[in-house]
Amino acid sequence: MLKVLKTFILGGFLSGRSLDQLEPQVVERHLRQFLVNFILLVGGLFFFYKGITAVLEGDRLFSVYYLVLTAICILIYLVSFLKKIPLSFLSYATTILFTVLFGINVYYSKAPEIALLMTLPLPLIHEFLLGIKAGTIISLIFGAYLIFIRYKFFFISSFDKNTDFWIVSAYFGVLLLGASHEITNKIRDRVIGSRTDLLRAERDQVTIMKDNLKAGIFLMDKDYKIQSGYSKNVEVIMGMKDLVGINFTDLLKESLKEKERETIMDFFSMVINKSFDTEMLENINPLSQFKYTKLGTAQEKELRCTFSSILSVDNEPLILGTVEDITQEVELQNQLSVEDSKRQIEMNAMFEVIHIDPNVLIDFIEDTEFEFAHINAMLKGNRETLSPEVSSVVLNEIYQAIHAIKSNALILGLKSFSVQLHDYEDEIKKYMDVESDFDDMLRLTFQLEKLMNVNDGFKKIFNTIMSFTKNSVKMEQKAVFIQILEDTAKKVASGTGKLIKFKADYIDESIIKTGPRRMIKEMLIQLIRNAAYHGIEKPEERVAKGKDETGHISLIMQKNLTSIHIELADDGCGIDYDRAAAKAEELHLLTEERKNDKNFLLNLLFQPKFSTSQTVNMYAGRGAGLSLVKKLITDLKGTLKIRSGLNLGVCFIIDIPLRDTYTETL
Amino acid sequence: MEKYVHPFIDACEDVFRKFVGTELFAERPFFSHRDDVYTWDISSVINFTGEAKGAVVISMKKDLAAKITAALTGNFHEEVNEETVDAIGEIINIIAGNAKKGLEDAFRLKISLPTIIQGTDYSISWPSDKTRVISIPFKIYDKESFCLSVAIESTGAKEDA
Repeated sequence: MLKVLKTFILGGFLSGRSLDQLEPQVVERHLRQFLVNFILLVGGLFFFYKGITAVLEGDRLFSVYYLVLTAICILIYLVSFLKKIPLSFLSYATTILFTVLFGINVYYSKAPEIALLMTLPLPLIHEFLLGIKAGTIISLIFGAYLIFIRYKFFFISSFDKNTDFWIVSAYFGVLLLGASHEITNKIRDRVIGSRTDLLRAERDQVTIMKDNLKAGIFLMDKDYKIQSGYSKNVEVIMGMKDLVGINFTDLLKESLKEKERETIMDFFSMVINKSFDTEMLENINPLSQFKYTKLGTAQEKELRCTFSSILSVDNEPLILGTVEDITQEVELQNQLSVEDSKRQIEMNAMFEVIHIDPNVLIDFIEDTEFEFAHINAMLKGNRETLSPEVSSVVLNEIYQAIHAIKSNALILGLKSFSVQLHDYEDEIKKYMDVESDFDDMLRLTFQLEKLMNVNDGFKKIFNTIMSFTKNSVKMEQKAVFIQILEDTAKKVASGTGKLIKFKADYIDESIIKTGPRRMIKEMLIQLIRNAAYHGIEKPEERVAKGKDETGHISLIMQKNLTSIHIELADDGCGIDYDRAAAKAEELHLLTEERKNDKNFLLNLLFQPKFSTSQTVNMYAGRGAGLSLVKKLITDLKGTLKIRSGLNLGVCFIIDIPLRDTYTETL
Repeated sequence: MEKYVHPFIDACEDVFRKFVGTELFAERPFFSHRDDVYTWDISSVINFTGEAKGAVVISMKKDLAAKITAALTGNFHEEVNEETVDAIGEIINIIAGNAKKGLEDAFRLKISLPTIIQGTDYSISWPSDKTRVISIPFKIYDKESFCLSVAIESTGAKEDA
């Protein structure tokens, strides 16, 4: 009821304008409207009262006059309800109407002093409703009118001349005060306006900066709820809209585990309480880089957040957060680190490689290429079927080829390549024992490619080295050959702490030039490794046995009429038949009557996967070496004899029939 | 690396089973040199880029192409003609499409439409500077075969362990 009344009265005075908006300009306009309506209503009522009185008194002229005035007031008032009519029109109409009426009243009133007093608020009304310029002009005109009346027509009344002088003076006083008040207001408004403009410009600038910043900026209250006024990029980066009032940690629901989010809240409370200095807080920031998963999707981004504590205007602690999308940065970094590790591997390879005599190195590279080509031939051949038997044969051949490369790599000290080859051997071993299918073969092929790439890398390095040392003396093939065998012995020696000296007593160069050089080299490497690893004893053991503390391995390679004759002798412990027998027993390969059958045990030593070594390491233990020797000799249709004496050493005697050409398969 | 190749192999087997009505047997992979001259009669190249880049090529002899075309369209042509190219192109399109679905979902890769090359004694200009190409022969119709060749390298975005 009260509300309806209030709406009715207010609506009446404001000509139906709503009071909902209370911005300064609107309020000011309302006040003007209110004043206009007030004047119209009060004036209208007064005229109506006067008109009725005149009617009752029978004064026809005045009754018509007053009722017409009443009608005009009501008309203007009604017009004010039309929204199209500007307030200034109403103001002018009302002011001019009443000013004229006041003027008439002053002139004709029976009590001029009262009529004169009533004109005092006029300047204020003028200035307020019509503005300083128009208001002052009209007030001045009216003042002039008052002075005019005072001098020409005032003497008729009994009114004290002094009084009217003072009232007119007061009128001008009010006019002056009103004007100065309005002017002061105007100036103040202008000052405030310019300050507002300045502030607005600054605010716009801040908004532009905020929105153009790559990082998103936002504020959180002490309950980690995001406050309004965050920058646009927060929405873009988090991939969500309308973040005001949302708990920041809730946004990370799918990115972090419950525990991690608790950690983050702990961190936030540390930020708010300023438990540590800024640098320390930055160091322990758990969100300095994390994988962000957008809620409800699988989209992932790498984000970086920073947090610092600030105080709001009301002295409430707030957290100022920034969030930045660093996905590309991280990706780039990963790429760089991959490149870096690649480069690192290349550098390591480089260091390993530059220690090797280029002649020996190129020999190794070519041999390795040869082995790889052989492996590929194995892969390509035997197309008919992929049956397990064929696969295991192929795998075994690949295994031996890889083993040969590994031996050579070890001799040259190519550590990381050896390790890779060793791992690959492991991998092949895994598939040799079980039935390998296509997927396994595909995997092995791809791994093989990596090894091939390593060798390609060596070749590149070799070419680089050669481009620097154009004039270096090319080592003779025979020297390279001996060098490699020497290195083989040295390598095992340094790996086992033994002292070993390799000596080539005689080598017929034509064997190296025209014979099956690769295959002979391969078998010699395996035999030397075998002798060095199993045959030659440790220095103290040798001294105890009364031998020279340095073990000797010697080689003779000569050509007879029909064959190539090779003798490789060591002065080690000889073949340990007991150990071989024990190992054979362990593998259930031995029957009682064969226990002392030396030929059978010897044969076992040359079987694949048979090794007397207790442990498998890079140098021995897989039983591949001697079986490879056996295979090579068989392929060359050669013969092998072994002379062995306990503590006297072993001598391998190999005879290979001479031929015009050899097909070098390993 | 092989994880990028698997979808192609699966797609090949799948498409041949569904559309040509025959089983394929993937055989032991081997290496080819990038400059090898192809003795196949018709090849199709599909390129891809992203976390790995490279190309996959499917090649076959014209006899097999004719057989596959016959299986697809019912018309047998002795020589490679427009219909053969269309049919093989279509098969390869389907293979590429199937493989693309699997690959682009799982990895950050983009795969091109296949290009068909025909004739003999051509070599393929492989996109990367890799020298080696891994070839996977497929056995089909008992003793015919075609070949899926792959050259890819990681661009470092995601290196496989």
